[in-house]
Amino acid sequence: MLRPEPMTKLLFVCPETKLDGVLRLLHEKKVLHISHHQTNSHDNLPEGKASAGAASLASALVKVNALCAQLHLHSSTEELRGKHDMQKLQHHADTVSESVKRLKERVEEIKLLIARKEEQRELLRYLEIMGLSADDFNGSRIKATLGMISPNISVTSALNKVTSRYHCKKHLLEHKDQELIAVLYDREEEAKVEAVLASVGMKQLMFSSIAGFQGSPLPHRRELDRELHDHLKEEKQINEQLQAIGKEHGKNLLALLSILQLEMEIAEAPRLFGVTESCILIRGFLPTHQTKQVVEEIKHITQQAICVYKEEIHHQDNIPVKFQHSAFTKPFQFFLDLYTLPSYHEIDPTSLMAITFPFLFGFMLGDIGYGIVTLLLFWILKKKFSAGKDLFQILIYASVATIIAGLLFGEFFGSEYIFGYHLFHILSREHEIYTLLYLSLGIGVIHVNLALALGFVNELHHHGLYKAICEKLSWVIMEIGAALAVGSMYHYLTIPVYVGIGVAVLGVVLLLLGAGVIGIIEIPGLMGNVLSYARLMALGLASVGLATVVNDFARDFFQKGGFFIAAAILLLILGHGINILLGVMGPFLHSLRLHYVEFFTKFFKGGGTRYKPFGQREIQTE
Amino acid sequence: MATEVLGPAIGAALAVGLTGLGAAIAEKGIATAVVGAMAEKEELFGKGLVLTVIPETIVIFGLVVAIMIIGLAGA
Repeated sequence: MLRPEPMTKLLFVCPETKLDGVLRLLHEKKVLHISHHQTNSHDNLPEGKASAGAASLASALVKVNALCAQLHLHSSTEELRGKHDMQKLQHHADTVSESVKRLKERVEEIKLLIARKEEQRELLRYLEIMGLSADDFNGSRIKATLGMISPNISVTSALNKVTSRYHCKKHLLEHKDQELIAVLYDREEEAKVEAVLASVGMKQLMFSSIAGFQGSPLPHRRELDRELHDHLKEEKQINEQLQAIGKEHGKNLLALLSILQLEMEIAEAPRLFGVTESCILIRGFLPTHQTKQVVEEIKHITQQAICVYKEEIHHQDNIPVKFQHSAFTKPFQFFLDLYTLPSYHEIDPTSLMAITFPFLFGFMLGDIGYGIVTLLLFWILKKKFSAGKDLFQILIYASVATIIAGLLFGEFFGSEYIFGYHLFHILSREHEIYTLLYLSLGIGVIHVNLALALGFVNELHHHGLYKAICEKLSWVIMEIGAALAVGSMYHYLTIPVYVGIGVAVLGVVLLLLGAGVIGIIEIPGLMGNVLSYARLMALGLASVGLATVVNDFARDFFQKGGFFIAAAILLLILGHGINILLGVMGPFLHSLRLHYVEFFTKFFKGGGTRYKPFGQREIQTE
Repeated sequence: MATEVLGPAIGAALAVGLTGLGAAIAEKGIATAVVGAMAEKEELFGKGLVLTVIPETIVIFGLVVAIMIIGLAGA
């Protein structure tokens, strides 16, 4: 629980002729986390190259991937593997690809036609609105121009300055902040009129797309409507055909995609290995409990032609981390994913967070009513959104902790009464602020010292007892010394003050030996860390305070009666709703902060590599 | 009597208010940098959150001081 799964480092020395079989077995087993061979490593061997067929596989993979995307095929690849003949599937995919390509090209053509005809229809509509026909643009004496202009601009006054031989008509377009304007003028005045229209910012519409139309625009527009209807119908039919192709051939295409992905991974894998003239060196990590079985199977399929060496794990090795969590603690891995993974030799704090995170959250929110509401809310959200199920599961645990804390604090929606009955409580947060503060700081002392204890274990594992005592135990010695000294000063203890001071000085000296001057500089930080837990009280008080204000206002409204009863109900819903929202966000972030800043910094370094065995795919095909 | 109440009240308010203001100014700068860093590398969220909330502790100190002021004034 507190340590990642034990790993064994293995070196497989494999004859080139047996490589394919070994890789296929490893891919199927999904247990070996391959260490990338570095050319400059101690054995000084060159890196391998991808297999000869990798390029053609990549090209086929891209093609099939694109085809699946065009047909909107989504599936898990795992269940389809290994049951199909690849060549037959590829031939089949080529045929499907041809049909899909033809249909897609037709869809593109139709889309272009639709766009062009819609533009023509719109222009004809404008002509209809203005009472013009396409012929008006081709007259010998009179020229017509149509365009858009801002409604605030007076075109006529500008035109009057240069000519009187024109006719202008305007129409305000629906849902547009522009006016449609048509100007008919003497062709001899063209230069002057055009200059005026340009100066007032008229955007002229281009009629080249309807140049072939003659006479009234209405029949043309009706014809276009018919054509557009036909195009849309054809497009719909093609899309239905594509859907049918996807339905009919989808399973085979996805199977092919899956096989190609597998072949591609196997073809590319040699790039991760070191090579000699006739052998391949595969180095990697696999869970210790699976080592024996996997090695036996590999030896069996290669007829004992492979040599397997168990290598010693060094501290500098990049050992992958595979968590060992129960169903209860697994969701809390989310916090480590958010921060950084523990390294292989470190204690994995996930299991501890599974207890301390809900505890701190519950201590801050601590209300039976709020706990029930958030429990229901996060339970529903977990059912609805599978993507965030780990986070919602954590919040469900936190809500249960909130209900338990609420029972201890005797609070129900901020009130200490339910229907006139005073709730039993161990601690009243509203009235015993100082007790709450001391309790918060006490929790801080325990949490920080738990972190120091974990740090002691980590140091013991990494650097031995001396370093562990000097770097981690020294803090605890200092704390004990300070506590003894303060206890003596205030006459709680009968021992002389200098005994406590002596113990504290011993702690300081040990710290100086272990962490140097930096350690001494960090001493005030320890007090800061503990005081930081005062936020447990602060957030709790803020939550109770806001809830009390809402309840007091609502009570006054209820007493007034009539319309005020409805207002009181609304106030209760809104007030407590906002308080719950704040009450979830605040305790969540602050509890997380107390872990990341105050807790983790005492023992956790992180920077681990996630265990990703060869053959395991994270991204599903789309 | 009014001065006896007003003095500690103003002191407590200043302790919480000024520390809140200080933390807000500090967090503004840190959060801006963190959002920038996250745009480059999304995995930095956890570390970014830690850095952003570090100045908040000063507000908690302010609150503790305010409670102590009120407590001492009451005593």
